[in-house]
Amino acid sequence: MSMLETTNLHKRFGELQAVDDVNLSIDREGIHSIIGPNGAGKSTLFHLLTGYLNPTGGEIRYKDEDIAGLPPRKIVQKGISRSFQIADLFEGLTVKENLQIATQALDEKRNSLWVDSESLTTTLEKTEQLLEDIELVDLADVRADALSHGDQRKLEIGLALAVEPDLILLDEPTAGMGKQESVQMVRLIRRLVDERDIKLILIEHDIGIVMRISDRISVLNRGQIIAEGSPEEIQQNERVQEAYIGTKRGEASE
Amino acid sequence: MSTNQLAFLILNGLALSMLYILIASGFAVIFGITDVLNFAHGVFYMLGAYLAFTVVDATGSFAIALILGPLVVAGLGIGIERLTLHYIYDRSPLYHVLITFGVLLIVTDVVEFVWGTGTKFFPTPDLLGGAVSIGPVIYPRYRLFTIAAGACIAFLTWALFRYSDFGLIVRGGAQDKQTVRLMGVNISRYYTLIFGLGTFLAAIAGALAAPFLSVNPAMGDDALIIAFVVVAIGGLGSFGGSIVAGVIVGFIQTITNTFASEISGFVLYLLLFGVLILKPEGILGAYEIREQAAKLSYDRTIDPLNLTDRRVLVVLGLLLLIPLAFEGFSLSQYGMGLIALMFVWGILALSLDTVTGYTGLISFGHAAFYGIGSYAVALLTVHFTSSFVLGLAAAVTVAAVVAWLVGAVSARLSGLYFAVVTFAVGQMLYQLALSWSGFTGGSNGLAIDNVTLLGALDLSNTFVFYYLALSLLVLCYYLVKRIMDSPFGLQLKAIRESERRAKFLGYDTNKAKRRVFAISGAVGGVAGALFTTRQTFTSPDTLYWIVSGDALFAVILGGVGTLYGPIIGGAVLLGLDQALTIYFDYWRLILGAVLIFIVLFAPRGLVSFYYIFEDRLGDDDPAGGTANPETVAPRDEEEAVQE
Amino acid sequence: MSDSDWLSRRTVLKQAGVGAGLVGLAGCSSSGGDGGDEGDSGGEDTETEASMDETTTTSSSGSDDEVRVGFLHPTSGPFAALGEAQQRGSEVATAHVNEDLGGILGNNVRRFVEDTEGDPSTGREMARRHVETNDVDVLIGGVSGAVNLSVADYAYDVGVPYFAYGGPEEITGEECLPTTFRYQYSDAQIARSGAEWALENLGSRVWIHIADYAFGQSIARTWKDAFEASGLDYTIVNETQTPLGTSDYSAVISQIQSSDADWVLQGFSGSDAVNFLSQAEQFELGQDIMSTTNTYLPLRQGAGSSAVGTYTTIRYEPTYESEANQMLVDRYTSTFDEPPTDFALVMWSSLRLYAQAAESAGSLETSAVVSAMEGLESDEPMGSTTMRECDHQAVRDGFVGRITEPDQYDWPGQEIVATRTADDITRTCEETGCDLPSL
Repeated sequence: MSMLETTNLHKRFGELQAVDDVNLSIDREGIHSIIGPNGAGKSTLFHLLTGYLNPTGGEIRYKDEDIAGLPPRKIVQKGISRSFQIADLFEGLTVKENLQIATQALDEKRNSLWVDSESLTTTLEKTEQLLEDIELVDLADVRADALSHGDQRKLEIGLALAVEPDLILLDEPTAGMGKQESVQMVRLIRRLVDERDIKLILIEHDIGIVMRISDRISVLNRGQIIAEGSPEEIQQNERVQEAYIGTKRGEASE
Repeated sequence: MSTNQLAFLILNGLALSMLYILIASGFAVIFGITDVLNFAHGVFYMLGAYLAFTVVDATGSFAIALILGPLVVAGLGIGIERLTLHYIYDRSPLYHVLITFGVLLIVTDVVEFVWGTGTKFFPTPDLLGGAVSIGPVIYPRYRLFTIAAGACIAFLTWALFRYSDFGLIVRGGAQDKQTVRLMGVNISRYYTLIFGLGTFLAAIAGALAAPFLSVNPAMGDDALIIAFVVVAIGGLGSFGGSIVAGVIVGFIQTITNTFASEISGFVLYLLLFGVLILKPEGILGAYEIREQAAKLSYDRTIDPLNLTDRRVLVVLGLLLLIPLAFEGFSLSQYGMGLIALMFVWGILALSLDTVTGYTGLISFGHAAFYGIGSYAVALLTVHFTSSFVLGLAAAVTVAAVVAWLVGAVSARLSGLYFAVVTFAVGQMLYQLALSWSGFTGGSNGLAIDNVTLLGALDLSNTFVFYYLALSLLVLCYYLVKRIMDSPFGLQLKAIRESERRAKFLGYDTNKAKRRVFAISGAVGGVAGALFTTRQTFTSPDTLYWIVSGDALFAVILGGVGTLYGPIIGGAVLLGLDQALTIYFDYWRLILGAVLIFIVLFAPRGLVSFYYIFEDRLGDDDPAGGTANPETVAPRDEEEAVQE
Repeated sequence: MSDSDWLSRRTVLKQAGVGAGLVGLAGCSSSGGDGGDEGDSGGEDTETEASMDETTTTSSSGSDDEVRVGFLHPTSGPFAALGEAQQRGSEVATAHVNEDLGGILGNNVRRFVEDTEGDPSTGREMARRHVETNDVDVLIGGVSGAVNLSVADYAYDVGVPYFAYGGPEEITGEECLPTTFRYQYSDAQIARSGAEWALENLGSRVWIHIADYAFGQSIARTWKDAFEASGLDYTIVNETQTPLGTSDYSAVISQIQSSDADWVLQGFSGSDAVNFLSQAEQFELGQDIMSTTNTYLPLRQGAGSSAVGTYTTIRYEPTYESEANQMLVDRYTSTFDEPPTDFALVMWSSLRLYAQAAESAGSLETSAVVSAMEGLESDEPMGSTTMRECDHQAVRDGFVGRITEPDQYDWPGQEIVATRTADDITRTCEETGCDLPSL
């Protein structure tokens, strides 16, 4: 049974059909990657799935519940979390504060006006744990905007994980990283996701990485899904190769 | 309605529409391209009118005046942009707003200095004097000329943006700075030109308006409000929207003036408010909030001080002792009262800091809560009871409720829209207080009897009031500080840093904004209540937008986002204001210069001087342990010492 | 060291002129003239005694031998032009009392000026500064009715006599106070000066247009009362209003244009009036305009030719022939090289009336001065004046005039077309609704 399913999902910006009749079925198990050339509609699809944008038409079912059009916070509360292509951090706050805000979101006293935020012990413990998990303990008191690019990406993942989702959507977590760094990053993600038994949906531009870690891949072009299957099947697919050849260069320069 | 009336209605509506379009277009151009809400727009408009007046006086030619005046003003605008805004485009719009507010203060005084304060008679140019008959009516020639001139200028400006390379580049730059930069274009040079163009349009509007409106130092205020309203209704950042809105507003205003003049003062605000509720992005708003354009970020983290901090205790101790130590010696009632009013301004600035400094929402309407608090006490005292406790309760409740509503209406707006809505609310209440004279006393204000505390203490006694204001200041600070340390407070910081991320963590950010607005409103209400108690008087001026501007000034002056900084800022600003009015006739000029200086060179205000000083000391001893403990103890250590 | 000390010293230095600034920098100690004259504060209410004692001890210069007068002028803000005109008036008035009348009770008058900014709260704060740091014996001035009312209220609280400038009838009507006096006409006196004359000479069909604020509303109310009181037939064709600060009057002017009204009552002043007049000229409005404010010099200067031909009640006219007026004109023109204004007249006469009352009371003590003031008669520039006991309103003749082409100066002049007797224009004590509370 699929965990997340879209039916005839559409998003139109004026004349542009950014997401065009997408039917996607994502299983509970394994890592599902979404690839496609620039402007294929990958990020828009993520925006629709997480409530950042409202679909023009179609359905999104998560655990058998229609979530299309719900605001992001409702969707998060249902267990879907995400990262952004350009890290969206609380830049002026420290790494620890970033994670504390994120873990606090699950605390029943998160809206309290009166208790000291430093007194929410469970939240604080989770924060410490998360700091260790994403390997930023040493940088706990550094402001997010002072982190290196790689560490910012880690923190971005940390924020997405902090809300203890069942499903996480990562939008190019290795964007702007070198080969070596990317591999480490992917390894870290894999470990974190496995430890927590979270379903991962990944947008990734490095085909090598995608092929190595994905269990299933969907290929998006001009808003439409043109292929879906295992890494091997995708590698063989002619339509995919066609879609990629013209844009390979643009894709690499990001 | 007779044809006669209809003809007048159409012509009057057209003339007013064109005037509004002229006034708004410069404002719209600058905002649309650079994201700067130019509060100095009104004074450039005024300057245009005065320069035209002078040129006409010297040369006798209106045509020369119409060209020369605006050119000079545009040059001035370019100079100002080059010296100030140019360096801070990447900063929060809060700073842009304040820079232009500073320019407003300076230019106002310069105009009063050069041309005096009286209304100048600007004769209608001979060629355009008199009236001609158009169909059934006789209509002034000059008005017909303005209709034509307004249409021409609006068209030329539109064509410039639509068809020239210049227009292409700046429109591109407004969409995506990076790309334009990659194409090898230095977009900031274009920003300078845009600012010049915007001020040129403001000045030409002023020069054209001069013969049919009079020339006086208050004219800038009106123009600013009109520009604000028209641009917000049309859609921030849409030049076409401003034109459509100018026509709509002009005609609706004319119709109201003709058939329901009692409410003509509200029309602008009602329209604005309605549009913003129904279609927050404005009639033709294609404007998407540009991420960094809305964000308030700090280079340096400065945490609020605890009340138990030794430095705070020393200051509080001194403040407690001042009246006692100097009683009967040299501190007059007046001086003590002045310090007490500083506390009041501290509370107001503190209230604004929760919304602006902590949550990153630029409120340009905090006068609303101050005024509500002020009127609550006044009305209660006039009609029911002179009890301060009840007055305060009423002030806090009403201000909190209104603030909550403002928060509810504007929560889904971000960035500069927020500033616009809060501005509109404040001005609407001001207009209401002015017009509803049966209830509020109108422009005469309300004088009240002395307010008493717990039935026994007369609060007209400066001594008693001093301690009351001080204790309320401390109480407010304690409460706000405590709230800001709570999980809710952390949420607010999260919203300031990235509202989108906060939403994607599952926070209801709109709810948080409503709540923080209510809290801020309540605290602002306290300030207003104290003010009326002290003055035993209130008037619509407590609701005027200049009060909101001053409050923002105070917040920045002290140190935005630090809670205690704004208190210092409020106190210093009031003290400065009082002191400067004694020394100088042109004190606004000095205040404006101080504001611009702070924004450019010390964006975290007075408190940052302390930290800069601390850094200097800290260089010798990074741990900060052995240096002067008074100055270098970090917060955590300080707390440890206390325990 | 303390703020207030420094403030009060600055205020004093500001008065004393540039030279004194250096003395201040040299550290003129507050011990110099600290001994306060008990007589100065003797009139205060007991509840404020503490504060008075304090201010006397803190005043930084001697007050043994001077009468301290606190003037309030809105030298910045919306009424700045009027405030400056007032300030010139208070300057010559002070010189006049010191040089021509030999001061008050043999002592020199010392003039203090504070800026109300035209804002009632600031006005009150500045009145407080006058009383608490300048230690003044009497307050004079303010322009707008709102400032007048808030200052009057404060002056009563602290027991200091106050000479109002503003016109609202409540100042000497329902909100009259024992400490408040007014040489200026009340709005009711003005209305009665003009209303009957206008109905007789301009026609019986009136269009009333006012600015929607206290002053405008007061004009509409008092003129309608005055129409009623005249016993003549009249019709109010329409009554319209625009918000204070309106710049575009085209809608209302076109309505008036196409109506059958004989004349318009213009119920506003300042830049609103300038806008209205210049637009009425552009529209070639056929109706006559009657106002209570076009007599003001700053307004005539602002409106220029567009004011010519309109009618106004006259508050002051420099060419009016009286000995007292000659003195004012001479002194004023020799100081400022321009004719005096109503603003100067009211400062001049208010201070003169205070001086005469203090002389006859033989003291500056408030209750004595107040008693002496009641019923005081004096020859002032615009004719003889009586300070009425029942409401503290000056009772004097009223004038109607017409704005004329510029003659002696660059701006339009005015000619008196009718004079109304003091009795005709002043409401009876009963009508005022004034019931003076005890001092």
